[in-house]
Amino acid sequence: MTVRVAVTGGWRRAAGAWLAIAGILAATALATLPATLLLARAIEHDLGASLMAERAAGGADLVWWDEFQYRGAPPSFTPGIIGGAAPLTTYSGLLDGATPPPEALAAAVVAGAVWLFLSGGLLERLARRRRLGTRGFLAGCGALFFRLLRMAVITGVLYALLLGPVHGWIFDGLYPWLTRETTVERTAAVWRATLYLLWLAPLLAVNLLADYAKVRLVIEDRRSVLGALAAAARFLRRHAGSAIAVYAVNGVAAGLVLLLYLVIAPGGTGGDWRLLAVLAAGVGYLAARLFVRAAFLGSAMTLFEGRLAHAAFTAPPVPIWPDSPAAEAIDNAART
Amino acid sequence: MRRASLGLSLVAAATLALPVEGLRLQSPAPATAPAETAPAPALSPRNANYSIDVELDPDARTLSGRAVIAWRNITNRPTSELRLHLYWNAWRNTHSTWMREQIRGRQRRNSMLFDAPGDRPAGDWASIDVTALRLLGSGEAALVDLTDAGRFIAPDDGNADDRTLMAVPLPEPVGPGQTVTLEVAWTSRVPRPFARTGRVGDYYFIAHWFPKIGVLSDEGWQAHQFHAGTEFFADFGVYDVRITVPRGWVVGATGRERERRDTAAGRTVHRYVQEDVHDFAWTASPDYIEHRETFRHPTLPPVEMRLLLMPEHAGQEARHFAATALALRKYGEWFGPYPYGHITIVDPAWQSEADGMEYPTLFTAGTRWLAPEGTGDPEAVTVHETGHQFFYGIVANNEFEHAWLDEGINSWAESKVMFEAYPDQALTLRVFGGFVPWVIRDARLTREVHGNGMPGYRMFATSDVPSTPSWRYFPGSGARITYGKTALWLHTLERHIGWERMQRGLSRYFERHRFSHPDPDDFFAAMSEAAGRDLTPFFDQVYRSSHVFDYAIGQLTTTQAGPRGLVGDGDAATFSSGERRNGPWRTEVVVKRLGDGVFPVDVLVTFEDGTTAREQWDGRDRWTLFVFERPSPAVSAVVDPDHVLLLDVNLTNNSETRRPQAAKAARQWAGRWWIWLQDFALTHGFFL
Repeated sequence: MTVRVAVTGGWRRAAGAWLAIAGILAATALATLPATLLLARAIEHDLGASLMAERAAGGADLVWWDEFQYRGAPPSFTPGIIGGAAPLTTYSGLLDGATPPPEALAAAVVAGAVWLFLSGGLLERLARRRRLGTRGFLAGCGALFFRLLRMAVITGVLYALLLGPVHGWIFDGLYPWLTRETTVERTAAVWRATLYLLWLAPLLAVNLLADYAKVRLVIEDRRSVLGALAAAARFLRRHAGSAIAVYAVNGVAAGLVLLLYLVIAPGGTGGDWRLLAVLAAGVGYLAARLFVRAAFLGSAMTLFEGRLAHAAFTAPPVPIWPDSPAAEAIDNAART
Repeated sequence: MRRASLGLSLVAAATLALPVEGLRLQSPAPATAPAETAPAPALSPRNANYSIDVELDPDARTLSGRAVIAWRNITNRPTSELRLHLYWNAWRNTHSTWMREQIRGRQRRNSMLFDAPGDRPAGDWASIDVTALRLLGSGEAALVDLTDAGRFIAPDDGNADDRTLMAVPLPEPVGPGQTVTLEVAWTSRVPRPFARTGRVGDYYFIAHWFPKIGVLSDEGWQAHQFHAGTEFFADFGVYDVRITVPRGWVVGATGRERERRDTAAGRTVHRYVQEDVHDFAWTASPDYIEHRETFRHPTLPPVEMRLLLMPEHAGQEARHFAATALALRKYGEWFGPYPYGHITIVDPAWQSEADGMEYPTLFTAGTRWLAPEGTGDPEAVTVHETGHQFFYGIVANNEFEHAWLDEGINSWAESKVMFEAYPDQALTLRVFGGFVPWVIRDARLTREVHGNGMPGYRMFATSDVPSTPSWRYFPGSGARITYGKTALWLHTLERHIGWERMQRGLSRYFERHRFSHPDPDDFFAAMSEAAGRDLTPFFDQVYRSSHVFDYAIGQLTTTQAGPRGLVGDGDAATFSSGERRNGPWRTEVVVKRLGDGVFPVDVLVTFEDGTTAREQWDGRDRWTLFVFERPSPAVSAVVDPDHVLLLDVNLTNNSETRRPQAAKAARQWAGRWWIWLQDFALTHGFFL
């Protein structure tokens, strides 16, 4: 099982699960819709019958924007939502430890809960590599929900440590110390980027561990989350290179998706057609993001099955039996 | 002690160039200035003249200095004491008035330096200690040692722990027209940057660093403690400064370099001289790359521009020169010529926090490693600080008391220059630790709002009455009044009286008060003269009060119906349903004054047939009604349609239309936010 096979296998699994991915996309949209409708109502109320509405409808009008923010717009409603700035500000906020705006955090919690529930079905779909039907999908969601919830709690503790104290130690302690006498911004930027990687490494390691634990939960039908995490850790210790390589390749794919969106994302110009373009590009980007996320899990499954699983597992690979030792000895003798 | 010679000397300070012999106090030696240092014809009173020797010890991070100060009393009153500013003592500990105000205001909320100033290592703090102080006479016998006579005073807040202002009693009063010569030696600890002063790595920016004499006026000493929210005030004079730094370091300073010589100790002495200035700042670093260009103009004097650029900003020199030249040209054409013939642009080092500050003939700009064009960075700060050479440098108002006179006027002028020269400035977000710029090209900045600082002003519109002495503004919001509100009301005035009158008023103010210390009334008088009418009512509204301006369309109704109800008298009275289908349309517009500020405004009503009606309202009542009988219904009504009143804190309520587009706008922006929110959720959901 090579890295390439694992990645392509994962992508095939993700492609096969397009309906599940579309369902999760729709669920995410629905989960965030109430907050969006509230914002729309707030904007409409703020603009009222003013001619300012024409300016606001015509594009990014910072005059109105500043006024709306002053009058109580949600803290997250900033020009940072325009085009490519949207994902950049989100990633930047995450890396820099910014406190998320409360309304966004609330929506993310709701969406996260939905994702947590639906990811069980997605994992089943990816593992089985065949259609489950709605009933089967939801059965998977239900069967795995509490296991995934327990895992979310456990990994959540680790993430909280990394996002909180560890982040503070690195970026409020180490970074200022390292750059204290630095007079060159470029040098400081390199330090910052290095520390991002330093901080991301354990974060992504936990994510990688959780992914393989989910794989083992599903494929081996494990009930114990702690057992799955331990088993995932053992697997990763033995196949660290391959697992990291697979993860990295998918990470690059995620980066390319982001890069593409940065290039094509429509800006702040107004108009109905423009809005349609914004929504189309945005939904496409979100779908691509979800697809890549599914590919992460699918690739992990493929690698796991290829390296450790056997025919009795739920989602076995095609077995390739090795030659017998005698045949191998004859073969070696013939070569020499 | 001979009373006749108690330090009262009429020796001109320009001849006080002293040889350096360590820091031993000694009598003034005969002037040995080379021929080219002969002072230029005086443009200013030159009553506070400094001859300074200073040595920087980078290892110990200290300055050792000695100065001979010749101060002439140009007031009508004698004084029995001198007052010396010792600004660096503001950063001696957390008990100074500056630090207390800084902490109170949290002006630099995002700077770790100010979140917890008490956490700074001891070596990061500053101090200035006077080690010797004496009056100089015409001979050795005339020396009067005042080292122990100086005492710290706190006239502003009585803070006994503040050591930023020293009163030095004189043995004999200095009468009008008399000169006193003071010799002072001191040592300073160079801090990690505070208020654009200090060091980081081997980068040094040294400002407000020497014992500096206050300003005496006919009303008394105009010398305040150092405050967090205000800047400085000093008399004009001649500065002859010899700066000793490690050999190979590049030095930039107020004035021109007249002499440079190496010493045996591996150091170099740089001598800078400048006449007719009221401050002296300098910088030293081994990293500077020096560039020079000359500003030329058909009617303005040439100016040699010297740029000290950080190596990582190589390639941005043209932008710095272009912005400096732009400001020299515009300010020169609008207000008056720049007289010094040279200017030094300092590109400060990363983390030096020295960016965006003005000093005579020298200023700090400020750029970034990644600084995309079209975002106003570093052009805006360069234009602003060049502009300060005119308002602060040449027209030298009291920044303690009336900071708006230079900061506000200059902010207004800078935004005019910037948005004329760079009309397409776009919003720039800085992400990933602030290192990566992301330009949102569709989000355009405007002079009215962003150039003049409306967002900041709106939040603190009532925080202080602008006529309050600036040092008494609340430290956390004073800048919004000093910069933002002033720029907004000046821009309002520009739109109200027209650019021609505005420019005439400013140039008159500049011409009258160059090389002097004007006060607000001087400015108001110049503007009223140029406007051809008394502008006092306007200044009362915007300067002598903290009134908020907010005009709004309260109601717009347009109907074809006639009067409804009982019509006629007595028995002939009949009930009218008001239905009328073929008559003219009656439009009623109620305009309201929601704020306390009063300003005359126009009201524009647009009708469906394309015609318009424009009415004027003096804006005094709380509301007024305009009624129109037209063949066509009204479509919209706008109060202040030309957006003259830039102080109006709510533009959204300035108009009303019968064809509202709010739902469309809501779709536009809620739709974008929706995409952002889902992305936000997925990013964080990635870890579930």
